[in-house]
Amino acid sequence: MFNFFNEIIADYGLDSSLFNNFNIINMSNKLVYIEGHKGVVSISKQNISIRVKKGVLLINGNNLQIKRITSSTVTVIGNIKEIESY
Amino acid sequence: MKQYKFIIPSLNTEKILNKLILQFDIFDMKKDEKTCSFFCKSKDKKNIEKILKQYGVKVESKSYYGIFKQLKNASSLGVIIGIVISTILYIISTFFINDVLLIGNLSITSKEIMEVLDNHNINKWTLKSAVNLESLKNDLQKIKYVSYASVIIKGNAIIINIKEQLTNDEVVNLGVFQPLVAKYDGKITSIKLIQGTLKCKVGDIVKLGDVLVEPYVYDSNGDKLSVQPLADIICDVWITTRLEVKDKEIKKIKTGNIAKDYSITFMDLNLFTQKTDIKFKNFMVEENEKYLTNYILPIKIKYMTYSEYEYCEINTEFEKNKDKYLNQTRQMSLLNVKEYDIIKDESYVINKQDDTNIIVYTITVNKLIT
Repeated sequence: MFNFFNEIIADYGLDSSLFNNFNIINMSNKLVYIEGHKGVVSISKQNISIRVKKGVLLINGNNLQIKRITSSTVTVIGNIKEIESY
Repeated sequence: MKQYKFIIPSLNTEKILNKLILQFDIFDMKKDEKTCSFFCKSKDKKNIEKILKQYGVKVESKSYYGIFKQLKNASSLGVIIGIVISTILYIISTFFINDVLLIGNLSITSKEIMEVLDNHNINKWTLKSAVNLESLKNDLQKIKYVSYASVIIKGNAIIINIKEQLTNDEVVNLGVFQPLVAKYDGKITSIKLIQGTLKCKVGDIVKLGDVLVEPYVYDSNGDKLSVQPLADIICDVWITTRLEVKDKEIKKIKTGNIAKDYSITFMDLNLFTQKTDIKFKNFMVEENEKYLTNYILPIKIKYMTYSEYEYCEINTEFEKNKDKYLNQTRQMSLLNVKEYDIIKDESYVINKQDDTNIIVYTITVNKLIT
């Protein structure tokens, strides 16, 4: 868990209760870090879908793999093309 | 860290994964059409196997990727030779001494101890088995002022622990000594005995030369040991000066009348003399001589001066000049006081005997008399 999500909310004086679903970081389309996931829906080299609160995140790309997954965080690496949320 | 790799069929992987991540960390998960692989920590291996079995997942393979696996894979001949040589060198080095640690030597120098080690041929790269610890210990104990020495070998170091002798002044100073005597007359005010047998106590009045500390002690067996007597004995010392002043004094006073003779000599041979007829009743004679020429021709002239004097009776007026006489006596006393003496008291007594006034001025100083 990264504390800077809370720091951003505090910096902008936002209501933290509105930001308790999930957080995503995309690093140069090579790594996606997701905090607050609820499990994996599907895994393949082209797309990985992650269940989050009130929705699903779909990561599309090539050579995708889950680098590390724990009960609350998941890190996906590969050539990321897009991240869809629905 | 990740150490075990599981390969399982890819069917329903997500469902199994979601169960596993509730308890364990999963690393490097890859999935293709047929298989799915992932890594886990070594400690989680058994529990993951149990869960997979529980859900009817057949583990196609599991592999260990820990440090021992890495070593097993070190197939490079150079690496293997390096490891073997290092191990051999390490084992060989454990047979040798490569350090000397000295403990407990304060007054005894390391050099003295190292000399003993040198005599035993002990230095770096001496075989541990070649060191005779008992002999070394005995030789170390022969060093002057070493009370006890212990020697052990720990690891590759030889550790020498020295216990030095506690020096006892009484024993060190054994010999023939003179007693400590008083250097002044006085009254003892404090005594700090260092060694010896005390023959005085505070309050005693001692005289110059009195024995204060005898040069011996008795040990616990009752034996008499000769020691250097040492003590700081402080006394009140009385420095006394006496001045006698008569009421009337007869003094010689020059009248101012003088007469002179002179004679010239050459090498003690009298060449010329002029004599004057002296008519003085009382006179004093002064002689002066000097060379008339240089030393090559030793011609000297010698003067004789006759000064007339007469006796006069002078009234000293003691009472009138008492302060002057007292101060004179005080100054005479102070001449005997050393700079570092502490003056405690000053007093004087004036006595009159017939026509003589006697002033006795006493300065009391506190000083070390030993």
